[in-house]
Amino acid sequence: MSEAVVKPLWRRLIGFNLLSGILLGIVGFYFGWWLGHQIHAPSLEYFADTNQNDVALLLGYLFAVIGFVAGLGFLNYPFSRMLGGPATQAEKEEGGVGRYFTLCTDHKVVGIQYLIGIGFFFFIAGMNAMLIRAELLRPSPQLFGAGNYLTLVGLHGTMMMGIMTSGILGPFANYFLPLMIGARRMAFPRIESLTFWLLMAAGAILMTTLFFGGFPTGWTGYAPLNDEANFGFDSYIFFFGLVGLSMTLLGINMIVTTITMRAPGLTWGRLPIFCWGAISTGILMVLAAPVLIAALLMVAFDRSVQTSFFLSSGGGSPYLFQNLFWFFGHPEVYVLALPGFGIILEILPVFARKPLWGYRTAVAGILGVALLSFFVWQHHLFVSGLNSSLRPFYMFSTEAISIPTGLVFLAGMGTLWRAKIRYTVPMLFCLAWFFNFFIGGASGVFLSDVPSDVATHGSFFVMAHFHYTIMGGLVFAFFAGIYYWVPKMFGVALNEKLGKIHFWTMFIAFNSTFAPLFALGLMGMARRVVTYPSHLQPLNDWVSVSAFVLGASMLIFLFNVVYSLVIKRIPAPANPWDSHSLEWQLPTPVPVENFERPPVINTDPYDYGVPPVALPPAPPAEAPAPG
Amino acid sequence: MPDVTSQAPESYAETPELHERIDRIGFGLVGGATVMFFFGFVFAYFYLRSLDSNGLWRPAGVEPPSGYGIAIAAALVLSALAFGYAARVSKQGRGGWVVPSGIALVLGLFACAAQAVEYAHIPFGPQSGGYASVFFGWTILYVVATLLALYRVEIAFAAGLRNRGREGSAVPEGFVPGAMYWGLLAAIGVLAWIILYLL
Ligand SMILES: [Cu+2]
Repeated sequence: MSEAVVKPLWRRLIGFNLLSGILLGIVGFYFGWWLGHQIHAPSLEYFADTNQNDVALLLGYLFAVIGFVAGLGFLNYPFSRMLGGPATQAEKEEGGVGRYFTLCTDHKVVGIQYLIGIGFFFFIAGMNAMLIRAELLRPSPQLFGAGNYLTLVGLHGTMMMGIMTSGILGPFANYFLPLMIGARRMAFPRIESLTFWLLMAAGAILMTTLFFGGFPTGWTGYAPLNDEANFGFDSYIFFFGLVGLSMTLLGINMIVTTITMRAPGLTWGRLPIFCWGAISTGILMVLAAPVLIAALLMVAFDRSVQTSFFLSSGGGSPYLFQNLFWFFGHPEVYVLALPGFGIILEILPVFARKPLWGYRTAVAGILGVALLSFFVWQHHLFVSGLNSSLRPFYMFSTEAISIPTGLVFLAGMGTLWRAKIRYTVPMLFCLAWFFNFFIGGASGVFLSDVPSDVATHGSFFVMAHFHYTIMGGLVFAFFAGIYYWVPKMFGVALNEKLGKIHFWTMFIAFNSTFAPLFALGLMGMARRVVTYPSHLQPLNDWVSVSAFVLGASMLIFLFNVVYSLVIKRIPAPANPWDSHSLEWQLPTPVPVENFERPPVINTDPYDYGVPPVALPPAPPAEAPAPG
Repeated sequence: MPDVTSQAPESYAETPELHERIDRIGFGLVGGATVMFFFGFVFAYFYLRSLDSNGLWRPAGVEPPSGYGIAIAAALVLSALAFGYAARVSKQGRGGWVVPSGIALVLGLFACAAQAVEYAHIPFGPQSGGYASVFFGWTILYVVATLLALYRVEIAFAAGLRNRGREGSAVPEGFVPGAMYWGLLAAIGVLAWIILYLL
């Protein structure tokens, strides 16, 4: 990298970057929109009556995405290959901030891109939650009508379930998995970058639904409402389709990287548990997300070329969608949970100063959850009129998931047993995770059980359950990861005192928000409905106020970020937590190439308190540095 | 870093074997994802067929022209065989893989074109019931998947053209895994033919 000539700003804006991506994306959208209006067929004439041309909107989104990735420079390499050019592993890259706004093949840059991009959409989806709770302060509609309320709930749920699938793998696995296994790069660096930009395109597309009337289905997009919905639903289709594509590619990258790029001596039995979480999540992503994409394309066909996959009046069936969706959807919830398992078990030994108890048990637990998650999806359809002889199978397979999950808990508890725990902020989030996820898991047993599920289906009980597992699990693990790894990513630690204030506010407000929802659900409060019986108002107001405090706890976090990372900037030591794992042995900031020479792994990853193993003789000092 | 690691004296070497391994596992996983994707349509076929909602699964006259089905499936199989042969030759370090790659490319494109022509001559439309939905959905997306997979065939062919005369030493990386993936996709095409035309 020569830094002799600094180009003027206007010159740096021209090229393949986010700006060109956005511009070409807009051009692409209008091109597709125009093209869609040129297509005429007798079966499409009704578009003119409703003034909602789904073909035009779907094509608009399609060409917008193509323009966006072309503008970012993703098509350059495939074109050069199509002209017979050679295979390369990295783009020619300039240094500086510009890397964060374009196709960058440095996995550390992608990790930070993810952290900020996901944080942005997490913030927006969180704001939606605040609006939902504001609406529910009164039993009758006040701020939004029933329709807008549905869109609000749908936006919150869809964005959280879509964007946060990559909430942990995106930032932390992209950044740290290569460091943990002693690699210099991910197996597919361009695809790694593509997964990030596809996710950002998806988020932007989902928000445009507001211009097209929103969508009424919630995050599950059930048929036949998905066929009937006005054309705001097309953005849901594109959002989740792109998320599915991004997930599939992310999963492939994680698995291939872990299998092929481990440093010498890093056997499977020494692989950090976080990497196990990443690859088992990867397996779920690769096998489940394509089914979602297929189902969404069927909806797109129903809405555009007038097929009838999900219309029983046309020889289809809405339950086809429900089956395909949950065949993806249940593994999806473990896509959200498993990276959390990985982070928690990764961080626990560091602050317990003990080896991870039952490493193999924990790995078996993680893989067992991943495997079982493909055999349970019908538990979402217990009340759908499904053949009742199928119910026991899905009931038992679902309940069986508590066994491998229990193994993960066992490993965690065994690690904590008689440990000298350091109560740092990441550790507090880990401990809270066990508390929350236990409530989430235990309430899940009631939903896997047919008799109690029939009573609670579609109620706030279900809502409380999955918020305990996803927010209480994934989001707490996400924050544990942030507080733990930010010193390595940014060279500056987050303030401990503010972190503790953030933690306690968030933990208490979270429980105070979601625990009462179990009660509300049992009292009959339905999901996705803007009104509720007036005697439930006091409890709802309690929940809303708690939710606002929960939202405010995020502001404490944001303040901490600004205060620690921008204002104070106290440099963090290279290994502030005294961790034994490989990523902390590197200097901060991590060099562009990560490792000068491949590290050789001689020990288990969590040998805290264990006397050091005798090292093989050190390499000869005069070994030439790599060119 | 005392009790965690020592460092190997040799530097990082990105060997062709490593790249081949990455491509092999990568294509294996893409293959898995592709299978799951089309599994959605196989599931839709049997699910809607067994339900036969309103007797509209497959009204009389919803019958795709069998000649097109055979032509498409045959082109796919021949293309996969040609590309598989090309991969085999390239693995032996010989030069004769460029022409079979070109043949595979042409046959693959022919299959896509034949599918497009079939749409123009088919006696039913996408709105003709459950079977018609699956037929159009599956075949349209199969063409898209084929065009994406043909990218791999094309880059092998293009690399061969560019390095004419020294093909033996200019074998593109990931040739064999790419050929195996193309074979898998062709097999899915044959499965589509069996399910959509013969069952
Ligand atoms: Cu489920």
